[in-house]
Amino acid sequence: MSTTSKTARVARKSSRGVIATFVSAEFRGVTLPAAAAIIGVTLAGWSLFRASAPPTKIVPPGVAALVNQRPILTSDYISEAETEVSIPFEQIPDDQRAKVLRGMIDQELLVQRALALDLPETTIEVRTALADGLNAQVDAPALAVSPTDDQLRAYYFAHRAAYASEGTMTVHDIVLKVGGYQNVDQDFGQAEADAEEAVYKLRSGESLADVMEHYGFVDSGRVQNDTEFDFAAKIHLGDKLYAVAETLKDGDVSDPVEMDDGVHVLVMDNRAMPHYSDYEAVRAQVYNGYRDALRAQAEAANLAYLRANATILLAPGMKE
Amino acid sequence: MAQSAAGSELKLIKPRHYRRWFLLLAIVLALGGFAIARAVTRARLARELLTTFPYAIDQHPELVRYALSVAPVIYHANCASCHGADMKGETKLGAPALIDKQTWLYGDGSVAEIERIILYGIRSGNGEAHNVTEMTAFGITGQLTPDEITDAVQYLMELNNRPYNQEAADAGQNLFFGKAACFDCHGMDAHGDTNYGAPNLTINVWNNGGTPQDIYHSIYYGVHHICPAWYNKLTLGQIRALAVMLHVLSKPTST
Repeated sequence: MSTTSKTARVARKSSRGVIATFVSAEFRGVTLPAAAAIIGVTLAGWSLFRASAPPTKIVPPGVAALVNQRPILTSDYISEAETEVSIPFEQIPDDQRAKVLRGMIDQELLVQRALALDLPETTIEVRTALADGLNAQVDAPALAVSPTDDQLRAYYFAHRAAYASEGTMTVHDIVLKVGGYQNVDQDFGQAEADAEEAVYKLRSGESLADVMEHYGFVDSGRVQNDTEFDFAAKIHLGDKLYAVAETLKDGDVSDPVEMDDGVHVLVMDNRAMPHYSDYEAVRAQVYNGYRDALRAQAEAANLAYLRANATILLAPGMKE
Repeated sequence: MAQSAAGSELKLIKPRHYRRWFLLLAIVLALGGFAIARAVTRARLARELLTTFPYAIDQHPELVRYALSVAPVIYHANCASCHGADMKGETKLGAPALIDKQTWLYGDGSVAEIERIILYGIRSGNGEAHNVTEMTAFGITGQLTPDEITDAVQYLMELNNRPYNQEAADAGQNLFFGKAACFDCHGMDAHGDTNYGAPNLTINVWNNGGTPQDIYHSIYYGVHHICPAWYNKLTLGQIRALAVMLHVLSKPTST
C-alpha cells in the first residue's frame, strides 16, 4: 500500500469524522444556522464588492421610452400626442405617434444636455423658470384658502395705504450748507440757530427768496419745486425729509432738519393728501392683495425651511 | 446507550407514518405552488395593466378585475380622507364624488384622463396639472351684490327643476349671461366645460353642497380647492389601478 493512498484514506476518515461530528445530535442545532450565516455573509460580500449592475435595458411598465435611464411616461406621451394631433390617441396613426415620441425623446435629450451644461446655474431664464415652478407648487395650498369678509376687512385696515390714491406735493427744500465750498466756516450749531430764525421769518410771512438770500440758504436740488407725486417726492427727498414733508399742509414751514450736508428747511406750497379708498370700492384689490400676501408667506416659509437645512458660506466681507 | 435509544426511535417510524408525511409534504408543495403561481400571475397582470394603453384596458376584463382588487387599498390609504370612504365626495372640502355616473369635472372620465389628474393633480402647482381656472369669488370681491347672488342661485334652482322664485330667477338669468358672465366657463347651456373644470349646473350635482345656502356660499367666496399631484408619491402601477377603478365605478351604465 502506497503512502499516498494511506494518507488519502486517513484524510477521508478524518473528514467523515468531522462531518459526523457536525451532523451529530449535539451540534445539529448549530450547524444549519452557521451554514446559513456563512452563505448569507458570502452573498452580502459578493453583492457589496462586485461591480455595479449595468443600466437596465428593459423599459419599465408605464414608461414609453427610457432616455439615458430617464423615463418618458406613457401618460405624458399620450397626452402630448392628443394635444399635438387633436384627436383621441387610439385614432392617431402609428407614424404620427412615432413622430410625437421622437419629438419627446429629442426634447429629453436636450434637457439632459442642458443639465449636463449646468444651464440652471448659468442661464437666467432657466433659473427663473425653475424658481417659478417651485414657487407655484409652494403657493398652491395657500391659494386654496378662501378668506372671510372679516379677514379681508382686517387685511384692508392693516394695509390701507396700499388702497389710497397717490398724494401730491409742491415743496421747496432749502439747505444751509455746513462746510464745503459754499459755507466753509459754518458749523452745525450756528447753522441750526440761523435756520431757527429763518423758519420764524418764513412763518411770519417773509418771502422765501429774501430769507434764502439773507441767511445763505441754497436750494438742495433734491426736488423739482413743482408738483410731484408723493412716491416721487419720497425718492427725491429721502426717507428722513419725506417723513417731515408728508406731515406739512399748504403753506407750512418745517422745523430745521439736520442732515449730513447741512440744515434743511422744507416749505410746502401745495399739498394734496392721499385719498384712502373705501373698502367696498376696493374689495377685489383687497382680495387679490390678501391672496398675494398668503402666497408671499408660503414662499417665505419655504425659503426659511430651505435656509435652515442649507449650508451657506459667505466669503469674507460679503453680506446678504 | 445512545445508539440503542436512537434505534428504538427509528423503530417507532412505521411505513404508515411515511404516508402522512408525504401527504403533508404534498399539501405544502401544492399551497406553495399555488402561491407562487398566483404571485407570478399578479406580477404579469400588474405589468400588463401598465403596458396596455389606457383606452384599451376596458377590453381586458382580467386587467380590470386585477385593478379592482388592488386599488381599494390604495384609495383608502390616500384618497378617502378627502373623497370619502364611500367615494361620494365631501362637500365641506369641495372634494367631488368619484362614482358620479354623470360627469367629471375635468376630462371625459377615461382612464387616461383620470390617470393624469392623479399623476399631476388639480391646481397643485405642478406644470402638468390643471392650474388654469378657478371659480371666481363674486361676492367677496364685490363683483356681485348679495342680492344679485341670491338671484343667481334662484336661476340655478330653476335650471335644476327645484323650487324657485320666478322674478329672482329671471334676474339671475340676466346675470348668468350678462354681468357675471357665468356662461363663459359653464357654457351657454350651463352644461359646463370639462376643459376648465367648470361643472354642469343642470344635473343637480354640487361638489360644494347643493342647498341654496351652499350654492350662495360657492358663488360668494369662489371655489379653488386643490387635488395634490401623486406622481412620485404613488407608483405608476398604483396610479393606473386607481384610474381604472374610478373609471369603472364612474362610467355611465348602458341602459
